[in-house]
Amino acid sequence: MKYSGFQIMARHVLEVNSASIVLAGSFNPAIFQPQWFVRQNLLPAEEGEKAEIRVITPQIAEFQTERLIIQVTPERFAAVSKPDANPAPLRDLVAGTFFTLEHTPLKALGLNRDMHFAMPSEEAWNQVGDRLVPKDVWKEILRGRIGMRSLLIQAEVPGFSDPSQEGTRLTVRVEPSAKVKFGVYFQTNEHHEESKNSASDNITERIRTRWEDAYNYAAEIADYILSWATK
Amino acid sequence: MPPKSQITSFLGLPNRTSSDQIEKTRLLFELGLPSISDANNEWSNRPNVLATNQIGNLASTARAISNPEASVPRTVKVEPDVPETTKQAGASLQIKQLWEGTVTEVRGETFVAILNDKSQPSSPAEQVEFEAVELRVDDLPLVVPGSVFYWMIGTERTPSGQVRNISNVEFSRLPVWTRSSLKTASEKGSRAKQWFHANGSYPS
Amino acid sequence: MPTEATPPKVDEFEISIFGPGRGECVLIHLGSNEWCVIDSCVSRGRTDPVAVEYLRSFNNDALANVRLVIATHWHDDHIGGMAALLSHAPNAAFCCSMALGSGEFTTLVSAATATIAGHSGIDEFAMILDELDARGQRAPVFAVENKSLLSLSGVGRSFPIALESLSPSNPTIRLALTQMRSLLPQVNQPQRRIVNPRPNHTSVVISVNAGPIRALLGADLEHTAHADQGWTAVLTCHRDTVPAHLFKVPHHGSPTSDNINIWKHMLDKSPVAVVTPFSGGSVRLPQESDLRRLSDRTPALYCTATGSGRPPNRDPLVAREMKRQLSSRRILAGQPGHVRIRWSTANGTVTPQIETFNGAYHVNPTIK
Repeated sequence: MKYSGFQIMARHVLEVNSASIVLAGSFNPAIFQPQWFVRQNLLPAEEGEKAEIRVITPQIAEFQTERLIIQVTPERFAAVSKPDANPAPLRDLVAGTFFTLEHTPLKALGLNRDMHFAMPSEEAWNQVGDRLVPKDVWKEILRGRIGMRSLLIQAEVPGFSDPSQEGTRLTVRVEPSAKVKFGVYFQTNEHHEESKNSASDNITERIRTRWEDAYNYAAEIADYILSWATK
Repeated sequence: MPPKSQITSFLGLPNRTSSDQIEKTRLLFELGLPSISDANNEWSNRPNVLATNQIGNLASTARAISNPEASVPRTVKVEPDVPETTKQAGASLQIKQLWEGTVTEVRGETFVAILNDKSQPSSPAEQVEFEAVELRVDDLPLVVPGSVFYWMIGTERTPSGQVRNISNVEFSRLPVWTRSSLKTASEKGSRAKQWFHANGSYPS
Repeated sequence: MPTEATPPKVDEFEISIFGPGRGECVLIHLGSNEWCVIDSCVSRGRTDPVAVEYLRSFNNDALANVRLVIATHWHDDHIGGMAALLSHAPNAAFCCSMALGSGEFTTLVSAATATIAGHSGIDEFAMILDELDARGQRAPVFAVENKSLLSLSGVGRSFPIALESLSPSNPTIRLALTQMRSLLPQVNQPQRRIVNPRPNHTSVVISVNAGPIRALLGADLEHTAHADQGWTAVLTCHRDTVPAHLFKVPHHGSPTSDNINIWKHMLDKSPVAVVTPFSGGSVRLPQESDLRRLSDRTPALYCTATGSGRPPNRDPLVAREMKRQLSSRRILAGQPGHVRIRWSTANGTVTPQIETFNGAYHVNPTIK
């Protein structure tokens, strides 16, 4: 597989970019306060002090810093990089968190990326929708203005680089962007289930080994589809 | 675009939620979490996908109702509604170059590092000496051999539409070794040593 | 007209030296299309290690006939691609310094592979261990001073060949263990990557005897004042043995690895000497003064490369920022040059055929 690195090829303008790591498992939201991350050497002290806490209760925790947002419920842990921040440290934070909380039961992992691309014209923007979802048959039965609102594709893959990986699925969503005029939104989710043969180490290891490739592959998918759609 | 509470009822979810539940739902939508109504009604076992794009909400939830067998990854569910909670209108970052660096030597006011190109992975590694770099005060104690950092160069569009160049060196925060993790490493090391010294074959 | 992809004849003894990629590599043709590989490197922009590319270019199944792969160092900088090499050479045994069989080292590997940031500097060795485990091969050949690593008699072969390790000495191994202990993480210490430690106390110097031909491969061994370490320890045991006709200059020609007694007591009068450059570290090696010093010792001095090549093109903003914030920049991995020395064992001569490829060059004519 060919990856384009932490930067999409210059053909397509990536206007808004965000990444997230989401874990399903069993969590205690109350502990995930900014100061806990600072004490565990996972956040700089200054960033922790300036963090904006929205809620911290036993049922839900959310805070945001200049670079990221953390949200935790008893079943979910989510770390999201902000669109104006470098997403690269996200892996270190999440993997570091569950290295420290090594006994946390983790069941599944989502490596996600959200990208809003600006198309060069309304025509190009429409062309993407028309190529992905041809309208001819819909025009025969539907009235009014017809457009693609959302496309969801899922691929069950034995393993991107490791054929022995189990329970890996890639989901790609393509929609008109709600943030960028004449923009196309891509959301990718690389989903990993806990292997039956091991415990949480497996999920933490996946964060460490798959994060960068999943991030880069998301850009490659978007670039490929946009290039094809606008040929 | 109709308000989110109306989106939920538009899609045919039982319109029997109390005003209390509506309030809770709104709060959770604002926070970008699955609707509490899912936990309280017959849809609770269906995958509940919450996309970061508002249009996606509508489509994915509809699919969940109309096609209960649709297998949607659980880990797509809890994606915080980034546009709502972090919306800084127009603020965006264009990364032109990203390196991951490892400090190899500290020389007084400067430090030497090896840079690995994350933007173009086929580029060769470079050994560089940083002279004029502004570091956060928090990061200064991390300038020791073996520390990892990211150096990002790019442009940022501010909310007011101004474009400015940015160059940030940001040190990675890595967790500390715990007694338990070191014990695990030591045990693994002992087993590896035994394996290493087991009878083997020499070239004849 | 022979090219780089022309394989040696079955009765030709060959030593090929590649470098620098990220690291360097030495290949030895043992006769009869059998090979030994010492260290490993990958060319800039390539995925396969140079040893695999070179042997594959012969189209004669040479990879299946690699008998021994030797790691003279454990840091990624010196053995880049060695795990991949082993996976392509299923019949090769693995050899490394005795110090790497210690609990200190295996614990270091275990700890390093658990670090969050990865690329810990020991990843390649961890992959080597995985590869050996996957093929059910245990117990590497452990190299220590005065140990036979490989000995093939001349019966049924074109020429006898023997490889012997001349280092590390036992006191040096103790230094290596102390060094490894200092790298082991401590409780409450943040995770860090392992920086290539200096000096290399696990360095394996190898003496190769192929019929009448001798070669001395100096690895990274440096010279110290201690009688039981470095080159002094080697000279104690191997002074005035049969002199070597080929010398791979240790540690990139640095003054710290230079010992005139090696030239006086272990090498032929005007041996072929090959030096590989190194771009990491405080200074580029070999410096001009090193090349002059070595040229005074032998007229047949070769260097595998002139440099690491041009840096990649950068966006103007990026180039500007790099210029503003960096006081120095060096590319670390290049296209390795190749010096190939072949001897015909059929006629008993010790006169070699020397070829240079990909930027390698004969130093002496260029030194003024």
